[in-house]
Amino acid sequence: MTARPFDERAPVRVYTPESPIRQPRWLLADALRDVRISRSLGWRLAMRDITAQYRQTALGYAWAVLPALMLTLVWAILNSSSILNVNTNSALPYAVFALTGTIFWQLFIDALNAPLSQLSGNRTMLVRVRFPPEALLFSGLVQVAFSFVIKLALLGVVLAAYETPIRWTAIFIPMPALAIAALGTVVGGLLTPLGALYKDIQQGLTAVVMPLLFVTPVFYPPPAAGPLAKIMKFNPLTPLFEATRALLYGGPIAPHVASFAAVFGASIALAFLGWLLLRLVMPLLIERMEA
Amino acid sequence: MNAAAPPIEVEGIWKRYCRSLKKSLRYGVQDVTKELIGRGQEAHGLRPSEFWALKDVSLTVDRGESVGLIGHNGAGKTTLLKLINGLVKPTQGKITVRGSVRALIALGTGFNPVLTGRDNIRVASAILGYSEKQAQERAEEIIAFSELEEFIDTPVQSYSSGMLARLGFAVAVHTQPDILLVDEVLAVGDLKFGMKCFQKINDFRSGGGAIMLVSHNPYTIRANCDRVAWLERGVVREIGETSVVCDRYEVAMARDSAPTAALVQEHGDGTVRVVEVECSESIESGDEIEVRIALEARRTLIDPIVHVTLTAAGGQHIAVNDTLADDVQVRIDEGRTEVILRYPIVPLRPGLYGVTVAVSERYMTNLLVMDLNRAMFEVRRKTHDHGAGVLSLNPEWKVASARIVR
Repeated sequence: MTARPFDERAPVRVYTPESPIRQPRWLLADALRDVRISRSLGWRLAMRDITAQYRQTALGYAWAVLPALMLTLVWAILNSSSILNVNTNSALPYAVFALTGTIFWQLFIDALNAPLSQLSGNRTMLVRVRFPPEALLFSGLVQVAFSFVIKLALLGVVLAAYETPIRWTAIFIPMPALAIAALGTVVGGLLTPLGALYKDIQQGLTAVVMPLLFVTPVFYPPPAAGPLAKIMKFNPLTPLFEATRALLYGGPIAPHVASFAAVFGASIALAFLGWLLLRLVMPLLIERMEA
Repeated sequence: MNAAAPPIEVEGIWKRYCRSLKKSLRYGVQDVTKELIGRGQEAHGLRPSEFWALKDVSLTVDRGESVGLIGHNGAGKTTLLKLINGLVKPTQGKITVRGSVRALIALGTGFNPVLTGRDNIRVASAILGYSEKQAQERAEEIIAFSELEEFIDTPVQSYSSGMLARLGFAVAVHTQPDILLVDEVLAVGDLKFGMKCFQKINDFRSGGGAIMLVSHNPYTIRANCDRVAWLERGVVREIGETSVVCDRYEVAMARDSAPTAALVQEHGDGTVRVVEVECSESIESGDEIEVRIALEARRTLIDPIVHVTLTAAGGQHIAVNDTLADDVQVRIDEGRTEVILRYPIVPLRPGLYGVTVAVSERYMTNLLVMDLNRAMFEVRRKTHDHGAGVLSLNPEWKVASARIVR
């Protein structure tokens, strides 16, 4: 290692007990600089995790789709055995309806878990090496996107098998996908500071996810009336899922636009806040994290 | 930036930690809240179950300077490095770091066991802030330095711990920081590789880099540091020139581990008792020392053997002598007998040494009594002595240059 001639413009860092929130301009400048340098690291970390994850498996990338396929299969069997009688309000084959729901539901769950699992999965690194925490968030998002794209490919195969036509509006599908991922990441991200301290958060997330699945239009559309209809109305995921299916397979889009925009906008704003919050408290979490 | 400003400036740093896990989590939430409402972490007291890991620590490291940190486990050395690296926040005080910092702590952090050495180099380079292109340019150099060409394309889970450390070190040193923080990582690989690492570190220092080095190995510190800070329970007990602070530290360590009453063991059947072992408490290196041993026997012993061993703090035997080997006739009568042993020159390194006395009836069999480290003496440094090693031999130098006639 060659010590370079001392760089007079080298960064000067001052560490005090003060909260950086008192100097919001510095906080933002620091944050933006870190975002720039964390992209290539985030990408590399994502590649590391993806390669490592599939290198030790025999079925490889098939694992990105197998759980979704199996879940869909179970619901399709339940439905065709008349145990359930889902009215999809359209001519859509039920398997396609359920698989579409499952894929976007998985996207939400993956995004929800990503911040906390990235943080705990990289504990040893965090307590020893100083690097922008954004890299972990970015890496998490890349992995979520990777697994989502593979699932989309599966959906394409299934659509072809059922000879289901898709609407031209399907090209806008990245929008609801982005909104679902953003909502998941934001909720997961806002819970991360607490979740890094108390394991209750991780447990709680697992416990909440299953009930949430049943009040989200994943395997059935929102019913017209009754208590479930009321709950689903207040579930921010509902307009996102409804919009997704409408874009793909037809159906009214206009009624979802307003609520969709509200959820998306709120997610982006909260994402920004959550990101700054995480930056602020990172040293405090690291100090209580033992590798 | 002021050209004379030191790269590392630590001013009155205090840091508190919590011993209890449950409370630590609760305090964590409190601290997070305080940070978010802008109150920060400044505190002057301790909450229940907390302790000061660092108390009012101040020090600086200049350019081209290497400062060592020594002290017991839990003295606060690693905490200080973490604070300087910006990983955790101080409770009081201020740290100014001028320049880019690289920490050689826990080498191989971020390595994934199922990926190959080459893949892991790319990841580790990215963690150190290198772009894809720079990482590729560095890769070959890193592999050559690590001497792991043969294994570089196999998963690192098949590497030995020494190989892993080599790879980690090779990645870490192929960087261009201004400041290097080193925590107990140089004891990696074999001797040859270790030398190579130190060579790198010394190059870095002579190039104007600033180093802070934590090690439990006194030789590492003595060989690589200009100054040393001795931390004890979070407080800087002493800071100054390496040899001076290291000497004092080693003596203190030896005293701490010196046999307390419970540890002074007497083995034997009670035929002979070591009543007293006496010697000067402190000598200057190279002086003589006299050891007076008082024995008390219950019966008369014809031709017993008296053994005297000088032991260094680490436990190694410095000088083992007995009356049989030195051809001295001994007779211990019933009652009291005095044995005097004089070492005319004791050219030992500064430190604390112990005297162990044993008496046996025949050589190595029938041990009658053994008294471990009954007496201790300290060897002080001669003012003009600046060497290192086990012995202080005060060599005389002569340099003759022969002119080559062509």
